[in-house]
Amino acid sequence: MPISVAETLDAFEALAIVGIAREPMREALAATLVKDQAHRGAFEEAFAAAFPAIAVEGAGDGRPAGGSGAAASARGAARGAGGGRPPPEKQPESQPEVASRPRDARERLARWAERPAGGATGEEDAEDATHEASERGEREAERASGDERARKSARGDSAEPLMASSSSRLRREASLLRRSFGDLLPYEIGEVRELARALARRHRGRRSRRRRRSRRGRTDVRRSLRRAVSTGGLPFTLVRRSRKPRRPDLVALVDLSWSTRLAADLLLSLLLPSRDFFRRVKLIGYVGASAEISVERDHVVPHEPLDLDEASDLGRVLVRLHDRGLPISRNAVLLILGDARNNRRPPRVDAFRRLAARAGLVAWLVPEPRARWGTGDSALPAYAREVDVLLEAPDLGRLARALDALAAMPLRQRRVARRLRRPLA
Amino acid sequence: MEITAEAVRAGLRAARYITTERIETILHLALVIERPLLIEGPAGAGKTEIAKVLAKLLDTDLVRLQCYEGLDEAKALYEWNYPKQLLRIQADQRADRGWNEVAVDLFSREFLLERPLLRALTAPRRVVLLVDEIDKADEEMEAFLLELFSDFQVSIPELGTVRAAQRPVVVLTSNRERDLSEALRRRCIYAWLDFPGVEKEREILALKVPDLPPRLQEQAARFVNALRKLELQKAPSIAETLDWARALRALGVEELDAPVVARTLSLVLKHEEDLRKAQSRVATLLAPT
Repeated sequence: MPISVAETLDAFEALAIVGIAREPMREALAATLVKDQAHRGAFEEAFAAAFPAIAVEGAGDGRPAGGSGAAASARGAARGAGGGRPPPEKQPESQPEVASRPRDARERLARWAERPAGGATGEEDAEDATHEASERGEREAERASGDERARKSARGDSAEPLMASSSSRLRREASLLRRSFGDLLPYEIGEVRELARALARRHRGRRSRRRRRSRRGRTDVRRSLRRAVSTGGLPFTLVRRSRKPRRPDLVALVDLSWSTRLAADLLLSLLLPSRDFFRRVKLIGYVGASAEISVERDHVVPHEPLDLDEASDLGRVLVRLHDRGLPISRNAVLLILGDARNNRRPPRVDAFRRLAARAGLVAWLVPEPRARWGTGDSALPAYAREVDVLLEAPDLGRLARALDALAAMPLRQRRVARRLRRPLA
Repeated sequence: MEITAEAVRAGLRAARYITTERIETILHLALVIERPLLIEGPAGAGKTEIAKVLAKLLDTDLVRLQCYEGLDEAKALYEWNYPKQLLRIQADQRADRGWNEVAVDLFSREFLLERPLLRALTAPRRVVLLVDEIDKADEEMEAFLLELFSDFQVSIPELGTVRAAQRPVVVLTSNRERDLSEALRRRCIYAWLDFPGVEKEREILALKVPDLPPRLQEQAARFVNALRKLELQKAPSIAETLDWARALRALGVEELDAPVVARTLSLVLKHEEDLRKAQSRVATLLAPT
């Protein structure tokens, strides 16, 4: 969880205001330190570890045992499950009596000061729990003395009558976004696909927004003056020069072989809604050979027969595409998704160089962690020299971010060198 | 007014806003620490309402900046009133005045169109500034707001620096359509506002639609809560629940059953797919858990 020094200072300031009654304190720390609901689970876990509320169940001051037992087990589960927030209870939240707070807070603060340093905002460090261990007995005694409010607030661990579903979904999303493609469990793959579609919807707005903004340009003096004729020569309404929408073409070359299959699928579903960001989109899938593909009802459909079990051979595919005259213009983005694992066949960088030279921007998404680039049969270093941007996309989050970064990149205006227009050897 | 936890609670009650203790604590903190309050959560959970309630609580004005795609400084901060300036030039064309006089005249407050942000800065007293749906604004706007919120001053080249006499209370809301920058999050106090649970929603219904039979309040709250647990395109908002409750009252419904739900469901669900999905499960949704 990212926490800056400034936020820590805020947290102290907040604590000074709300005091250290458990419930307000937790919310104060959460509001100042946790800036993303997806991190809330980790915070709860750390908070429970640093400020344990175990003592409270022992209080047993006339509360039905079942209720407190349930709360305890819920908390236990939350701690054990590593970050899950306890399930919401249906009871309304307790209203602590505030009147007695200041004196009480001072007392506690005094006790607090005697503690070993470091535990003051213990959420930073779950390990602080060990420092707490010695204090636990003391606090147990304090709470067991029948401190009604403490009991209530401790129960507040789960007393928030909120529907947990949307925030737990966010947490799940965050963890799926960070999971590398290789580590996904079989049942998670469906979830990730679903998430990719949701992301694509979310990002569509952003890309269209970029385009819309660029529509209004500088003042068009000539047309403003002409319009001014009707107001006696006064340029009363300014006319803006409208910019020509310059949408790039996209040529995507996607490795459909087994090792990059999932990444390819996700890329395609992320690209799907942004079709209107590009003028023309050409999707090409390849393994040992290549075929134009399209996505229909979330399935990749090759337009020609394509053997997916072949060993992938990008070199051969590139030569074919070059010879057949793949339509790439200076207004096109050439996007490759693949691990460049060519099964030790010739990478044919010469063909790639010729194709790349014609494109306005050449981007390569690698669905492998950077540490594995160029190891084994990967020919990535050879291709990389011809690529403008090489982006690491080993998980869905980085894949989506890479696409966003790409959408913002300007195309270079360049001329194709004569030697690259000659036919392939 | 001195801001204490009790004062905030009483103020919320007076403004007829029902919320959790958690949110009360956060609002209290936001008012005392004087940091922008960033509220995220599903649409229709009452994010915008919080700003309105804060304004009521502080007995001050609410200045609202609704963000949208392509919002720029001219629309958010200030703009020179170009046609008016032009008229002015026309009006004293005869008078023989030097450029300096004219410039001083033309670029004065009179010709400045104050947009919400500047209005919040120049207000004579502390106002509540609501920047609604900041996730819809562009990243550039976000960066600009960041700068503004750090020292609450803007410089207008022709006019000089405008500094806030009273720092406004800033409330930002976001539906997470786009992730906000870390820098902005760091500077804010953060609150996640989820839908209320059954109990809170029943309280809200009781407060806002008091003449609805208590049993029906309970049933409606329960039903809407169950609806939100379905994977819907758009979960029913609190406002929609209230609309629905008012409709039920107008229809003189005493008891929530399948035919009544079928007739009125389109008040809470506004997507054809959602309607169909919910219709097929009305029986299970109505079943008391």
